[in-house]
Amino acid sequence: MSTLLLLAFGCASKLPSPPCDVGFARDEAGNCATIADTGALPAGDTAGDTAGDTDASGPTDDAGGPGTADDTGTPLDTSAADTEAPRPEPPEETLPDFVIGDPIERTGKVFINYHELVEAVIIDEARGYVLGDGGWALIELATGEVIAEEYMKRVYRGSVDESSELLWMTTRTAGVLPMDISDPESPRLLPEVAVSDGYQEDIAASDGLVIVAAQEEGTVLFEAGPAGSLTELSRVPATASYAVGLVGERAVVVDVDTLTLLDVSDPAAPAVLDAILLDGEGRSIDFDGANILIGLGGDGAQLVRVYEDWLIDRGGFFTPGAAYSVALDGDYAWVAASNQVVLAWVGEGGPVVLGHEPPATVALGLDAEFGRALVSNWTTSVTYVRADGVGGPEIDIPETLRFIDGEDSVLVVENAGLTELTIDFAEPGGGYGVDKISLVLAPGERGSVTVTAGSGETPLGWTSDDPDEQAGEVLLTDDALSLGEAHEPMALAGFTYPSTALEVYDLSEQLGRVVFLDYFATY
Amino acid sequence: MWLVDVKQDFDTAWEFIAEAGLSLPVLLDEDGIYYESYATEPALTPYPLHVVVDRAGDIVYVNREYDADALRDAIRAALDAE
Repeated sequence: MSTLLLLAFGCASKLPSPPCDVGFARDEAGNCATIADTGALPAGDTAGDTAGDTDASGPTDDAGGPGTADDTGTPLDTSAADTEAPRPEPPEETLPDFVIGDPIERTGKVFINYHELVEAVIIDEARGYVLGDGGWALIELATGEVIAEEYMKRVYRGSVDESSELLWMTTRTAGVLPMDISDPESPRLLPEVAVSDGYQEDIAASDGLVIVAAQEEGTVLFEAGPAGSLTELSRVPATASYAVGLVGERAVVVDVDTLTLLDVSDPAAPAVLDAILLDGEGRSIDFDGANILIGLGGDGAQLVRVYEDWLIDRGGFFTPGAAYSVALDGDYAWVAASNQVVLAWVGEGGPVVLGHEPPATVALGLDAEFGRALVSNWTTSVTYVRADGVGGPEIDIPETLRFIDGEDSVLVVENAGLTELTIDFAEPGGGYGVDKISLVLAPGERGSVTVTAGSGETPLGWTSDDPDEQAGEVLLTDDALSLGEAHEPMALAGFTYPSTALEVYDLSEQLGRVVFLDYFATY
Repeated sequence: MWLVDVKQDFDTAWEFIAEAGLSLPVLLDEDGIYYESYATEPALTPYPLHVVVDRAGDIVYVNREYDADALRDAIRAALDAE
C-alpha cells in the first residue's frame, strides 16, 4: 500500500492537474483514483485496514470516480471541486539588492551539562528552549545565557501550541510528551501520551490540533484535550512520514521524498490539495502558511511556496551536511546542517544563501524568529542575530588538504554567497606549490587550485573579500592519518564488553590484531 | 570489527540486530562509559564514533564523523604496520 501511496503522490506532482477529492490522488493517467491509499482514515481505522479495503469492495463507484463513504460508513468530504483546472502561474520574482556584509552575529554560546541537545524551540521574543536526551534549558536569546534548566527524558522534536501554552514533544518511542510552559522557567511535564507503536519523527501543534509524523505508521492527527490528552481523529497513510508543519487549516507532510499539502479544516477527514516530488528525502520542515522550507537528508534545503493551494517549487541551496533542522523567519530562513549554520533569503527571488557560520560542535536542532536563531549543538547552545538586507560572497574552503604517495591534490573552493568572490593564495613552503594564485568565483560557482606535493605539514594562506572570512589557512600535509581528529597515541584500556550474544569480548585478547570499533546508537 | 551500541539496553540492541540482519559482534556500552572516555573536551558529538586500534593496542584513529577515506587509510596503515 505504501508503494501505491508514493506512486499516487508522485504522479500528482508531475501533472498540471487540480486537486482530487478527499482521499484521492492522481494515477499515471492523471485520473483521480484509489481512495484508500491517499485519503483520510476515520479515527480508529488503521493503514492496514485500509490496504485491505482496496479490493473490489472498495469505495469507488462503478465509473471509477470518487466514492462517498468508506467501509465504516463514515461520510467522506467530497466538497473539493473535481474539475479540471490548470496549475496557476505564480508571479515573476526579482531578487532585491543586498548590502555587502556579514549578516550573522553570534550572540551567545554556552555548554549545557546535558548531552545530546537536538532541538530548539523559541517561545517568545526573549526566550527559547533547547531540548535533548538529557533535559531542557531555557535560553535568553539576546545573550545565550541559561535562565533555567532541568533533567528530562529524551526528546527529539517539539512544537508549541500557543493556544494552550503546551509544548508537545516527540520522544522517538511510542509516546509524546506534553509540557505546560505557562510558566516557562518552571515548566510542568505532563504524563506521556501513547500515540503509535513505531517511531515518531516530527510534531506540529496549533489551536488544539496536534499532528505527529510517525514514519511508516503514517501521519496522525489528534485533538488535544485538557491536561495534555490526545484523541486520534484521522491518519494519513505514508511510506515513512518524517516531518510535518501546521498553520491554521493547512498542513504539510514529508513522506520520504514527497511533499503533500493537506486541507485540515476538518481534521477528521484531511484532504490532499497538492503533492510534489522533492529533490531528495526530506528530514525536517518549517511552514509559515506561505513558504515551506524542507531540510534534505542528502545535503541541502528546498523552498516551496504555497500559491492558491498549489505547491510551487522554488529550488534549493546546498548545505555541507544533512539539513537536520530548518526554520523560517519571515523572508529569511536558517538551517542547522551539521557542519554549518546557514542563513538564506527566501523572500522574493529566493532562495539564496546570505551567509553561514561554523557550528559549536554539530548543528542538529534550530528555531528562528524575531530576527534571532537558537541552535542546539549536541552539548552546546548557541544564539545568533541576523542583519536585515545584508549578504555577500561566502567562501567554502577545506581546512586540510592531504597528499598521498607524493601525488598532487586539488583544492576545491566554492562561493556559497550571492555576490562575486575573490580569493588570493600565498606561495606555500615545504616544497608544495600552487598552479594559480587567485580565483574569482560567481555566486554558486566552484573553482579549483592544483597543489603540487611537498613534504611534511605547511599552511597555505589565503585572503578573500568574504566579509566574515577575510583570511585563513589550509593545512597541507602528507600525513594520511591527519584526517579526522588528531590524537596522541594512547593505549586503550583492556576493556571487556558483553555482547548481545551473551559472550564477553575482551580487547586485551586482540593484541597483535587490528581492531575497528564502531560506536553507534539506533535512534 | 566490533560494533558497540551506546546507552541502549539489550532489548533495543537485539531488535536492531534482528532488523538489520547483522552478523558482526554487537557489544553493549549501556552506560556510555567507554564512549565518553574518548572525549578530549566537553564537546562530544553524535554517533558514529569510529576507533581504530593497532596491533600494539594503541588507538591510532578516532573520528566522530563518518569519513570513509580517512577511515580506510587508517585501517590500511594499521594493517601494513609491523
